[in-house]
Amino acid sequence: MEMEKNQHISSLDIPVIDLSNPDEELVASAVVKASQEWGIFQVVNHGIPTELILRLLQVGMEFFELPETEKEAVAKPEDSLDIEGYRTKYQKDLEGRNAWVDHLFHRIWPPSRVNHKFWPKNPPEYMYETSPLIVNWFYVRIIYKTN
Amino acid sequence: MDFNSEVNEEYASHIKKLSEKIMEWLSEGLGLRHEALKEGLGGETIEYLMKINYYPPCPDPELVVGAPDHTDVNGITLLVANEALGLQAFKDNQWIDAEYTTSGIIVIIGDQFLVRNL
Repeated sequence: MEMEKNQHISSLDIPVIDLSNPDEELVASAVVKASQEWGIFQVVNHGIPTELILRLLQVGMEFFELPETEKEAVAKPEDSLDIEGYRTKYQKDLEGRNAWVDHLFHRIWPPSRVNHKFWPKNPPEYMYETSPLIVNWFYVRIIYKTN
Repeated sequence: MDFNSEVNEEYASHIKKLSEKIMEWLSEGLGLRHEALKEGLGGETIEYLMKINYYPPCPDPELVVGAPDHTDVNGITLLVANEALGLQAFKDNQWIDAEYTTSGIIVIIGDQFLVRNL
């Protein structure tokens, strides 16, 4: 798989589904089709305010730009069997390349399962637009039974 | 409550709503009741997590990749993309660069839903 990944030849648009389409049956069948054929798609006009997303990107970026010692305040404890907390992960030897990704993981719902211990307390002001760095936001609905 | 918590909680309600809608549509596609997938996965006890991935800048990109290939082991991932995502999808037995618009939200059907005969 790695070989194929490195030798990928094509670039394709993943399916786009417009959620503002009033024909909900059409939207539903597009979602099902994309899920079957791709397992990945994008939704546009999804109703989540751009302004909110930008604020979120900003506070997240601010967190990752804190000094390591401050980020460690919300670090995933060494002995934790749960996934919550900040981690920096450096993996070696992926076909001669290394993978480096830092992440912050915490529950956001339901309220009874939210542990603010892992929510950063200190995002200093920072403008997302000016940053050359990369932040991706994953909102993950987890149904882990064992992890 | 600090700023970060406020933003997070407002976002959580949007994300929950969108996820539930997608579950409804998938249930429909499976010929089930609208609520079937949601109920099967725990109803109101379903957990939502936020994950922020941060790929530190590297002076030599040839030496570092962000995330190695993987599948998502959860139910649904909603991904807010930006210009520099570098997302690839494994489709028709090869990795392709996934093109997307930055105003959209990328939905990834995770392993829990990845049923061959969906």
